[in-house]
Amino acid sequence: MATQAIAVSTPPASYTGRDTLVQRCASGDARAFEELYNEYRGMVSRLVRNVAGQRNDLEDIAQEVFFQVHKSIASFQGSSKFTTWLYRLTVNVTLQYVKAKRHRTVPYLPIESRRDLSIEQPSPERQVWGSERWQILMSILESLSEKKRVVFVLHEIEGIEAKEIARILGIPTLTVRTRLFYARKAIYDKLSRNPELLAGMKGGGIT
Amino acid sequence: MSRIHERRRIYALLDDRLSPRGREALDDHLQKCEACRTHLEQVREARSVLSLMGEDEPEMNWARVDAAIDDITTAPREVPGTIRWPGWALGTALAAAAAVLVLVVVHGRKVAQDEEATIAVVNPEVEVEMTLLDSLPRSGRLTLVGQGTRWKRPGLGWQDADLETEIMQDTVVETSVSSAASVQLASLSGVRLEPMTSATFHQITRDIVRLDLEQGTLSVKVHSTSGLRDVRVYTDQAVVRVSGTTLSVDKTGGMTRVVVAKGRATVHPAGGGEPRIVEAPDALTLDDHGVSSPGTDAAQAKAEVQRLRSLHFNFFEGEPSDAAVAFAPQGAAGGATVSIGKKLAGLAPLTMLAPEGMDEATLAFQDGSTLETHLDIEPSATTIVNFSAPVIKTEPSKPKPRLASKIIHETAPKENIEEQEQEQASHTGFLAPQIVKMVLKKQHGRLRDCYQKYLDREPAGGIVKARIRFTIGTSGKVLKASSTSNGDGKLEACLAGATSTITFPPPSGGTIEFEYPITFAPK
Repeated sequence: MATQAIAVSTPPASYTGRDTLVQRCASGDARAFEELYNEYRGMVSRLVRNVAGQRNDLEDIAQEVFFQVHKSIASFQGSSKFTTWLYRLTVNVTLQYVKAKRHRTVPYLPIESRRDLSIEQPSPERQVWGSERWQILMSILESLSEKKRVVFVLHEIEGIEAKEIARILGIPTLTVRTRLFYARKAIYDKLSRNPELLAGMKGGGIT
Repeated sequence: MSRIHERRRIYALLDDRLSPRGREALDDHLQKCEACRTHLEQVREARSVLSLMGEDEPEMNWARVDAAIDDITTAPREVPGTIRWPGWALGTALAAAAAVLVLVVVHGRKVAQDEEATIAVVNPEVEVEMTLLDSLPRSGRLTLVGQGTRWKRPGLGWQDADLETEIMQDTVVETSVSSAASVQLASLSGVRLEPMTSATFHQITRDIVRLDLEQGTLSVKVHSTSGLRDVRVYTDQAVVRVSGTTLSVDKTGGMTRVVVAKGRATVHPAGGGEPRIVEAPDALTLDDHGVSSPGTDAAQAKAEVQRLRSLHFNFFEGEPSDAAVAFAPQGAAGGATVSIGKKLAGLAPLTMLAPEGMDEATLAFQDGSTLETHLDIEPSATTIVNFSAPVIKTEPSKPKPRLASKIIHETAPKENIEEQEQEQASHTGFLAPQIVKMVLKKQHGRLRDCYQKYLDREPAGGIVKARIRFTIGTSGKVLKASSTSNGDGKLEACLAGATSTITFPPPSGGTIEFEYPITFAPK
């Protein structure tokens, strides 16, 4: 797989630097928290989107995640990697939020009608792929059950190994692998049935 | 080779987890199978596309989030322990606060996927009451409202119960005020209500469940590992105490009929009189005046037992075949433990087919002769589990001298109930098997040392399956330990010796005996 690793799984600068940042946040340093927010907001928002699916209130969830980080970072013991802790917190907060909102789901508006909500332009990836293809891909992902989707996202999109996912979710590695198997089977079968989707994405110049 | 088997290999290849031998087998297969080659190529393409999602930041109103972060960093930090009520929960919180209930009222009913049940937790430290109209609320959506209450889900840890959430079989609701008032809904896994049964769940503690049966049939199977020590079924005619037993209680009109399929139950007639012990396979019928039909004829009891077994082990539709096992859960959604007998022992769970909607399937070997599968199944789904290909290697690889060893399998220790009964219940204590397992796992190094020494003595020793039986005293120290295995006497003595030096948390209520199966293999 070409680009499995992402920024968060490759420690920036040095581990010591990150530890210091976390410690400073834990001691109530507001500036440090802003730094931490800037460093991890991409990872958090991506994970929130991929776990929660396309919705109009993603920023509320991301905001809730960072609120919980701020509230709980003092209790982070350092017994696991900070990213493990952050992944766990993000997944938990997202799932809780989605469940709480489930029977008052915010309908997803087409991207065009959301332009006024967004202050940023679509990412280069999406510009190349096109909104329609992107939405098909997201809807395929959203067709998975929650448990399988979380494992699939963490493994196939975030590039995290099964053992680490087991630590993040607090479940046995065997369970991670089982869920992953069925999730992959479902997703890859659907993608295989849409060869033009894959070809279109590849043809867009991103491989 | 099955398609699923090949898929597993393909995915393992992509994860870089495929052994050289597996790689060789896959390469051979790919040469012959064009569909598999295409699939591998498509999966590779799909993964490269998906990996781009890992780089794409979603569209969202970052200005709003930035502003919120500013608020967070400038506001004083919250005092630990206080609950922050999200805006969308505030309405329900205020409504709950207005209520002046002292009880925790847990009102459940048969919960279809889109229905809701509500649990209002106002003062969670006093008592719990649950009403079940026709089924356990094993799954579905519910609302937890209240302060100081936490709930736990597997994999997600403890969370404040101020959220609308989902109740599941393993959901644990616990007050943070008083641990004595904790409610362990996981205990419900030991109990199954037949549809149309009207029973009241009067009390749940960690150890005791009381069910009031108003009408209908209540089937109870208490798993030794479920954590339940005592299930009591109350009818107008009797109180039935169940422990480590499979039975049904049928309340029809003014009659109560107790049928025991496994183990034994104590029946206390409501009108007074000596309690009766009903041992499997047997039945007892009571009316308002006491026991009206002591015992039953053998043929009738056998038929009842068959019916009960089909209820609890209803995965066999007709005779089990060597190829497939069909399992259809009754009534509500939930998990079921499927034990596959020796007839299928020589087959591996390499192929597993399940219909859409099956949520999870974990396969594990209990020991060399039994396979145990846990399935979380949607209501009324039927799951087909296919077993194929040999599992037990007929020629275990020969270990070299001083090979590193590993423990390839262990299961939760089981309380040795049969032994207890023979010793006239001399072991009366309680200690959760999960805790015992946790303590034992920390000592695996010492147990492995015993096996290592065995390999030194017997370089061709191979896989060893052992069972360690031990009694934990009231102080938590091991009073006696013994072991059986297919290794040698020294290995057994070593395992027993290592176990006898372990200290466990003190069991409540007396001593307790466990048996712990463990399998060693050369690395």
